[in-house]
Amino acid sequence: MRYSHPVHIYRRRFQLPITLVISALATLVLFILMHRMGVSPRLLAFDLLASTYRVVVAYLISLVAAVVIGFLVTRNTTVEDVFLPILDVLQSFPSFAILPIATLWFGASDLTAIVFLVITIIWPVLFSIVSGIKNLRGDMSEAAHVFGARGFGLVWNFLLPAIFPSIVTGSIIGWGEAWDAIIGAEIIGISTGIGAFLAISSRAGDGKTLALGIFTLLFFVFFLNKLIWLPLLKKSTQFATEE
Amino acid sequence: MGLVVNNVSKSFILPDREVLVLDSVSFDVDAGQFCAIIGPSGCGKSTLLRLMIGLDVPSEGSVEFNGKKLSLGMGVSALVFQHFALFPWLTVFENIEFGLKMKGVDAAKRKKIVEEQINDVGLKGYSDKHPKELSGGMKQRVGIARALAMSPELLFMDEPFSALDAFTAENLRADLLRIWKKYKMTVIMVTHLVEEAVELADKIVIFSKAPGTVEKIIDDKLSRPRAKRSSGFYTMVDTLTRSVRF
Repeated sequence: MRYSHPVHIYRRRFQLPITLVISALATLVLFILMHRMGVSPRLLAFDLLASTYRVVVAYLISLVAAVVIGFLVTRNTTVEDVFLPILDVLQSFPSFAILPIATLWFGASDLTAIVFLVITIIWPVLFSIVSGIKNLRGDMSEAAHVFGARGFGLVWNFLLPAIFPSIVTGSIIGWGEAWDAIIGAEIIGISTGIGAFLAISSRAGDGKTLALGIFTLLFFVFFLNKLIWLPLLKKSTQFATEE
Repeated sequence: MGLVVNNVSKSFILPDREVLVLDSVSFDVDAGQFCAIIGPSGCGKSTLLRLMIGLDVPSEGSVEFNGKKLSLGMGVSALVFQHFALFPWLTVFENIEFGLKMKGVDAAKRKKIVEEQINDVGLKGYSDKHPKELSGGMKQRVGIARALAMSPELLFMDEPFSALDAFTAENLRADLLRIWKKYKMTVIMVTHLVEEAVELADKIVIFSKAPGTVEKIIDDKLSRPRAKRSSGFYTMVDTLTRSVRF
């Protein structure tokens, strides 16, 4: 099936320049608004970057962990029977409950945010990878073996590309949940980041700054989706196994 | 010499019982011969193919090639799959190149071999396409080229033309015969089509099912190229059809 997107510009060849132009315009509008409202762009940018840093680091850790754990727990049916139910139970653990414990250990720091985020992000990525591995076509693994893929070569040339679509799908969900979670965490306890920015504006009764913060966040998340996740999703349809 | 299948049995252990899939299968194929294994579906012929090539191990017995136990590590075998089993993320060129790359053949040599195969199996101009852009027949040409790139002494084929329409299959059979004549490798092909076996093979091993056993071995001595409408051909088809208990 061909990849298609309901919005026409996504199919165009020059979609990248268009996205960049739109983004530049939006950024310009944001700066003008900030200037008029007397909000420091540096403060907002700093908070946004602090949140992004936490999300990116936590996502990368989760990705590597999920790939490794995914391959370990699917090694054979016995291991699978033992570990999958355990992971299922762990997954249902409400991740926000980690926040007070992590804060107790590490303070209201980046580390706390990252630990909490990893525990949030890893599940969709891991379970997507596990189902990807379990749905690998038998004859394709046989082909990889017959044509000599072993050890690292098997992982790099067969297993990783074969589960690439699952990695992308899981990552998009995990990435979305990560933003939910980090903003929640920053509103509740961690005193820096875009969530904290919103909470402080709200407490100060500054509706305009609050709206500006939300708009900036919205635009930023859209921008990342458009530039990173949509192209990856498109790429992954090329990797997908057909029936 | 050649391929010797010696008293091979295979059973699978299910939680509640053991199922015998192959029972004391023995036959041999001379080097350079074309052997077809034919039988009803579920007779274990695909299982046997996987045991022979070394993707699985027999419960009893052995498979030897030129006096040595046959394994994937020997690097003499290649396999063509019923449903092609191409890697969707690789182009036609990269799919054909896969085995050579795993073997550590250098890029220049790989390119030479792959381009030769692309010409040989009729894939010229398709190098940069991905499998999903190809028709079934073209995909199987890639499957065959990927196997031939390994210059196998033993070419295993698991119902290679079953997933294709009749016209495409006919063309590919002709191409396969031409390729076999050129490289003179030993071919072991599993099929469920009697006429396909009669058209292609020197030796036809007929299986019966549950458990899979060798029912009969027939030497197909019809002269090549084979006229599919000759009386000799039909006599052979009839003999075989009577022997296969579907």
